[in-house]
Amino acid sequence: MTETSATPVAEKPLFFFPKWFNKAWWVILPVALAGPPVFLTIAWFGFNHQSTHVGYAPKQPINYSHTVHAGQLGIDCRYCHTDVEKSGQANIPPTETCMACHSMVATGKGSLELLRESWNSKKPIEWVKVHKLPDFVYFNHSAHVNRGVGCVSCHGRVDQMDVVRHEKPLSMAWCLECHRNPEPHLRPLDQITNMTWKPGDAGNETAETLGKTLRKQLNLNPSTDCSTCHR
Amino acid sequence: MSSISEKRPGGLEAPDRMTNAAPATSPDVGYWRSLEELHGKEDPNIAAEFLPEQLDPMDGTTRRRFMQIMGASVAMASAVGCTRQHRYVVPAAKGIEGRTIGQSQPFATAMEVAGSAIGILAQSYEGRPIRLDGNPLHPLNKGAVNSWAVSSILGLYDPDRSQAIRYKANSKTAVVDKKWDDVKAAFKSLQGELAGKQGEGLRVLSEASSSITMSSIKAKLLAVMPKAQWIEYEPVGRDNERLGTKLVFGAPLRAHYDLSKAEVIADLDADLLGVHPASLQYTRDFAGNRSPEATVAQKALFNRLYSVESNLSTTGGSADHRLAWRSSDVKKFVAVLAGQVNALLKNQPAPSVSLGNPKADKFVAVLAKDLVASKGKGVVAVGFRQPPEVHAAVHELNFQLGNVGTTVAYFAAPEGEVKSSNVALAELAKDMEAGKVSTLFILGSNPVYSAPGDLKFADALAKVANSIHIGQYFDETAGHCTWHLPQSHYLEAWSDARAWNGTHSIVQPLIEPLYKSKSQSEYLSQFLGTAVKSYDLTLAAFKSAGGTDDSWKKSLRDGVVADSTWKPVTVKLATSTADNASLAIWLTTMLSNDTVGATSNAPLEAVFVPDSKVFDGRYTNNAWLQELPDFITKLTWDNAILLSYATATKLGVKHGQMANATLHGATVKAAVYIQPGQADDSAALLLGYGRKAAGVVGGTAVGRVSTVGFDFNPLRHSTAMDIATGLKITPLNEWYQFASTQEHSQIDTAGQRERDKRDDVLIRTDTLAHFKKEPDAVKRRVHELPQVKLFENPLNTTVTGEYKWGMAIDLSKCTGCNACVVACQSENNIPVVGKEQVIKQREMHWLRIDRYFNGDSEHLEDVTVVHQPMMCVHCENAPCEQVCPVAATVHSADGTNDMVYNRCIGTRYCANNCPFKVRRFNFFNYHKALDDEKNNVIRLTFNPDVTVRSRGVMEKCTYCIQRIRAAKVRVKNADPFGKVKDGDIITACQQACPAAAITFGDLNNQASLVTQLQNSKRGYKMLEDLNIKPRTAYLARIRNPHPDLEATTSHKKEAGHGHA
Repeated sequence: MTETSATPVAEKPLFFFPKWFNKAWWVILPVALAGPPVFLTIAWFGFNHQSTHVGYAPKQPINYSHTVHAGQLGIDCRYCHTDVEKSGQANIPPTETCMACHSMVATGKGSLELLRESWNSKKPIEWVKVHKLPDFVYFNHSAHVNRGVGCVSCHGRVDQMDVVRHEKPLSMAWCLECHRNPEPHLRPLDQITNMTWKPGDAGNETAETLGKTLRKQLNLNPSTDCSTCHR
Repeated sequence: MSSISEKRPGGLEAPDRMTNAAPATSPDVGYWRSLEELHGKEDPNIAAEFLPEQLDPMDGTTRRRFMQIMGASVAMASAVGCTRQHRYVVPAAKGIEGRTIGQSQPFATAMEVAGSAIGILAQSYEGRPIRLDGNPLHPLNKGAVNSWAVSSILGLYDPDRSQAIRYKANSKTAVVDKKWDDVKAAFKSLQGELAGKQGEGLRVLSEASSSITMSSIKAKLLAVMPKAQWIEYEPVGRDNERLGTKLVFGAPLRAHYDLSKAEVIADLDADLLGVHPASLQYTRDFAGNRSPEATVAQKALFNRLYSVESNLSTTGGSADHRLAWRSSDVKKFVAVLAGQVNALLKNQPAPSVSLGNPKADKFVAVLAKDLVASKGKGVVAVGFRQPPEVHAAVHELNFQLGNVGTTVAYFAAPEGEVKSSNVALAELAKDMEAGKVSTLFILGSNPVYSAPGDLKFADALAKVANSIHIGQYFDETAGHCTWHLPQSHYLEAWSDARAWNGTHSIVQPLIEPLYKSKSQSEYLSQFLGTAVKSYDLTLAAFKSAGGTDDSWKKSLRDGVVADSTWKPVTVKLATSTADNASLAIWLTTMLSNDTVGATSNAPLEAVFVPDSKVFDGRYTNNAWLQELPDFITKLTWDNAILLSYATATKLGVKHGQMANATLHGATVKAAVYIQPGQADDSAALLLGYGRKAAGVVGGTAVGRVSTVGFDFNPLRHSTAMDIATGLKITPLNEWYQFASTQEHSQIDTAGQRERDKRDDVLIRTDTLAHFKKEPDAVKRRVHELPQVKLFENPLNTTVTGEYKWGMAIDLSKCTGCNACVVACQSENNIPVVGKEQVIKQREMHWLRIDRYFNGDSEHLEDVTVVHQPMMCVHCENAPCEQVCPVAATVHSADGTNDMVYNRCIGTRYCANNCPFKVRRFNFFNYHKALDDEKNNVIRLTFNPDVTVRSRGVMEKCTYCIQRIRAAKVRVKNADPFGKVKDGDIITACQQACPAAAITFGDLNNQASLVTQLQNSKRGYKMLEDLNIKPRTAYLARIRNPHPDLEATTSHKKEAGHGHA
């Protein structure tokens, strides 16, 4: 290769900015001025709760009302979400669970047609997922409900939701807030599914002292390691 | 074949270096990974990390092919966006008892390979199997698995599996799809016709089966059609073992060894730790007696393994003494050994018969002495490819040495006195050719590919009016048959199987058939007139063998039928039989010459070796196995003609050169691979490749996917299935590009120039005798770091965690069997990248096994081997973390080096700064192919507990962090103050390992096994002088050479540091 490069390379013409560039100021200046606000706006909306699906309340195949079941009737969360204390996932109940009551209650109700059809044909109902974390996040329900974190802390007042709504941002910053300082969010283990429990209810203890006691009692040391949730 | 070119591939300058004349000097080198490394390059820095542009850009076909192969990424696109797509949760209409959503459930089942079962524990997640582990209750494998069993999950979800009934009236018509009703009608008329003739003209060609379900069907068929014939054929048959026992004991028996009691093991071409059906048990028992600490404490014996073989096998690699010896000359070796042992037993002088090679003479003398010295505590095993006489002589040897009853047991051969499978197949082919066969069932077997070339099986098959192929793939044989019926995977249908030691297991399905397939038993019961479900067939066979409903349930739960392991039979020498007399004559003839050894101009022998990955070709379409580096050649996606260095030089053929191999009048064009440890004048031809109708992974003759590797079956002869002499190798002026990983990921402390210093640091070995004298010699190989503190090192962060996870890997136990590599791949959703990418060093295995040779270039057949499993060692002072600009790799409180995929931006600084080269980068989205609907089924393979990585992300071993986290949650759920106990967390590699070479646990717990191992005298950490503080420690490999043989095979610095 070195031998063949004996012929001189033709000299490149020098580069000059073209004349019209003098007028380019009128383009550069607005971009420079508008850039930071645009960037900030994107960042603002990117991290906004609205973009983390707060308020997402899709229509479900059956108008199941948590207000009626969990609120008025006072059915415990774990009657349907049976695996929440044992497993990482809180299961959506099978049709069978619904039929435990609805084979006797409201048997002819028109809005339950799909339920009966599913039970008779054994074809599952396709519920729309409301709370969805990214694929690289591994949240474990059992690790929270057994450690004094109540359902309401992450899901809101489900007992007042006719249609289930995405209540809390469920963003990483929001998770870490509690992992770094869990005390204000703790409650006794027998109050986990209670939607209306308040720290004062436990007696004289304030939220602060109760949190400290519970943390000691439950040997809580929430991890902020990446691999706690990402693996 | 895209890999063949007229030009030599650039970049890899191996051919010149490797075979042009012998290397001038024999430098005092220790461990090396390839001949290229041994023979040196002038450039001190072997180009390992930055490769020159050496390959033609991938052309359209190859690129498409490998992008198509594997994986699927569950699209991450919609994680955070402006609009949200609806996702659905679909709970079953009726709840399933015992199932907890989000947790996998284990079910016991079994996998049968060539008539021998392995106990499996299948993890089922939401109704689909996701991972296959060993069944801890199975006495043969006790929780361990091999790479075939682990990767069979990928076989289940293979989109290439046959999905339709096919029919082809004759060779001229096209293949058409048919319905199940058509099959029923065809079966009905066939059955009527055949039953009238008492089954004359009906043949069933089956793969080897130990199932009582199948034998009950066979009995039913032969009852209705007594003139029919049922033949079992295996391309890699073990019939000679049985024929040998017939010669010497007068009855067909099966030998089984108890290596846990053996002090001296002589493996004569047997590969007990490799291809043997009981290799999982043998590996466990062998490795169980390789703990020098236990030996020093007089708690366990330390065995000594001798190996005599042509092709370097797993067993040969683990041997204390190995003699590279032509397979066709093993009979001479056995004769001389038998003569010497007999003389020693009778206190007579040893017969002066020479093997024609002083090294071999010494080897056999020492082996004979050692065997006699440990009478009743030795094992002599001989390989399946050796003739019956050799087996007989070895059985007799074991008997005379008193090993029978202690270390050697015999079971009545389950198959009884049947013809050898090659003889039976040859007779079948002859009958087919003569038009005596009107109907042929082929069950699971693929004889058009695997039958020896002389039978011309495809031509014979054309003369059969009705040929019905039942198989999982529309393979070579299916294409030549009138009917093809899709067969269910073993995880889809009920059956049963027996292990090598007789342990009976029920093969329990985990999922409904994915592709409307049926089991062999279901098809045959339909043929016999009544359609019965495989469940009922298996249950009926189980009950007819004495089972009850209760024992059925217990057998399903445990995965083994209680007390089904065979009891050994007592044997005695059948001195009076004519067979035994002929054996004596054989031995005498063998010994009558003064020199029975091979002469230097002996014709080249061909040894047909079943591949360690794809076996006889049945796993060719399994991408995990294709990409798995072979335990010794480190070849991926290929096989080759393996030749020794000297033989290749003699034949004038170079590494990577194409050559014509001619044997029995047939010629196969294939590439030559020069393999250290290979015996001279012996060519190992690896079986299982060159499939012409395997699928998208294994290759097809037509269509967009070329074949993978070379098919040596045409060279086989039905009378010489495994060994043949007279092979001719003719070099061609064509070159072949191998994808061998042997030089990938080199661990350098200071470049190749420093290699000599490096050997002792990375790989540490010692002899048992020296270890007893100086147990800490291993630790003294490197100078200890001065513990001087100039300032508080900010990088030495205090470890605050409750636990301190660590690992210990015992090099004395590791045989390099590769089970861990595939288990890791299965657990951690590791993609397959394809041959072109492997050549570019882009393979993705988190766990690799570095294979080092030790030996000098003058005695390349005498190399010793060390296998070193290598994955992220989780340095406390991790170099990767210090260079990551986005903190995508950071430490957890427990000291694991975490990889955060969602932070990683793909700078690859970490991989460059990693001294162990264990980090893997996703150069492409290797899961893209699964956006194709056809491949959707592969998504079911993925472990839901591990993120599927996308393009541009770095990844590496996580110590199975998902298992660590799961165990911690489990323990704390039960008791807030509970601690994870030793043994609660088992990593995927550890779980698979049959040798128990890998131990994981908490280093804060002084009582844990891993702490004890790390603190043992043999424990050392790699590159400790870099102050990186690895959490994984290695335990030095301790060999146990015989003092009389040690001198002849002494290699460099076995005994310690120069100035220790």
